[in-house]
Amino acid sequence: MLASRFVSFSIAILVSLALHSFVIYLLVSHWGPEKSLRKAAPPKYVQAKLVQLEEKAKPKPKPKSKPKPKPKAKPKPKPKPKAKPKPKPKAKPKVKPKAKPKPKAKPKVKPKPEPKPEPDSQKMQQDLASALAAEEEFLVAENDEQLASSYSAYIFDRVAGNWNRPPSARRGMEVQLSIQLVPTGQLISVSIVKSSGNAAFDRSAEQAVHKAGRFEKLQELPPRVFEQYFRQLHLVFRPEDLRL
Amino acid sequence: MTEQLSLWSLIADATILVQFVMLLLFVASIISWVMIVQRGLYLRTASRNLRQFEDNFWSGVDLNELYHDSGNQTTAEGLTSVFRAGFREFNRLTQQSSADPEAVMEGTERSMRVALSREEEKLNRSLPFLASVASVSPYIGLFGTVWGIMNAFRGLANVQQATLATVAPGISEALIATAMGLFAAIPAVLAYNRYSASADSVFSGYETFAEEFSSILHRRVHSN
Repeated sequence: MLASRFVSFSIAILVSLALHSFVIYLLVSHWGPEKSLRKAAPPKYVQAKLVQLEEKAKPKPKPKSKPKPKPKAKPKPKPKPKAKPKPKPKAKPKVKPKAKPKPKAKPKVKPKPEPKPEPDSQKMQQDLASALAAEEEFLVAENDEQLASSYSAYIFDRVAGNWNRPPSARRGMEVQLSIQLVPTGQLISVSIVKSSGNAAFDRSAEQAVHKAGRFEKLQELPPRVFEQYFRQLHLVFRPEDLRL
Repeated sequence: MTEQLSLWSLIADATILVQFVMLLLFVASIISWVMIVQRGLYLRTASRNLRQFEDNFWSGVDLNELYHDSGNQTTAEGLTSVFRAGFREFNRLTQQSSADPEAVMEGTERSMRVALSREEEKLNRSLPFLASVASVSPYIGLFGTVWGIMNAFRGLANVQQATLATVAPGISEALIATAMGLFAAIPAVLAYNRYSASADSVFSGYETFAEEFSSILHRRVHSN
């Protein structure tokens, strides 16, 4: 009788433990379908890199194979003032790095099928070198831009977190501020570039920037990027989420 | 909060109290499952033994033979022990020449009642535990949840612009406590209801048998 009780208890304990560990395993291994959704969000960078790889592949094999077609790289400086770093998820104030000069936009490679009798190897080398340099520059610029956009997202978050909209805020209002920063991330000055017409709203935007005060993370930026994008910064405030 | 919320991180990040509540519920769930399985086995064997013994008893076997076949007192289980208690007392009393039939029947019935109540206790053992788990663990889980949500909102008070993302992890981790409470409670409720019903039916089988047996003994006492 004692033995049978012992047996039944040990069976019970085993069954119970097995059941619980099975439940835990199920929960841990199949926790939430949102995993994939979350992962899908930030792949912006990958795209940019893919484009760049493609271009790199083009000019290389050309000079080796045949001396005739001459790759000529024409880096066209296209200052494209990129407007606002994309609509951020629930963006209220838009951070707009002032006049993002996209220095080199896509070195265009044009193979010219001009038949030339003698292979002008020196000139070709030079061309190749300049093409590579342009490539490099383009890469750096791309990288800088990514960096800048992630840091402007950080500034945006900080400012948005500190922004208290006045009750008089209405949809469609927009105030544009220009802020000056130093490389330590310290705020030097704030000025209104374009007023919304509502003094309270303008003031609230200004106060939000003042409250955010210091953007410590900017210290991590290389000075070049800072000078280019963050020395002077334009912020646009819009009460988009208000239903008025 | 860019990394995905894993179950484990939710539990690990919870406050001590909530973690304690979760641990408590988890242990309660494990123990209640041990009880569920053990009681299930016990009640199944008990009702099988009841049927077997009754078949055996009504097959016309000699009572003395049955008494000797049923082993000794310590190993007797269920209906066997009721039968043995009654029969032994009956034999002892009838061997005393002075005993009158009423006293013999009274003593026999009393000793069978004792054996019956012992069996009843065995049948209902650990059912109260299941009942407590069933009724209390949702409350414990709810307490953990309320506490966790309280903390989440208190943390929210320091933030200027509250977004869903700032409260969501806190609430999510708090809700785990309720889920665990329900997880522990639901099987316990089901098992309690089922087992108390089957314990009742087994016990009423015992009682019926005791009555029948005492009526047989009664006939025997008065025929002498």
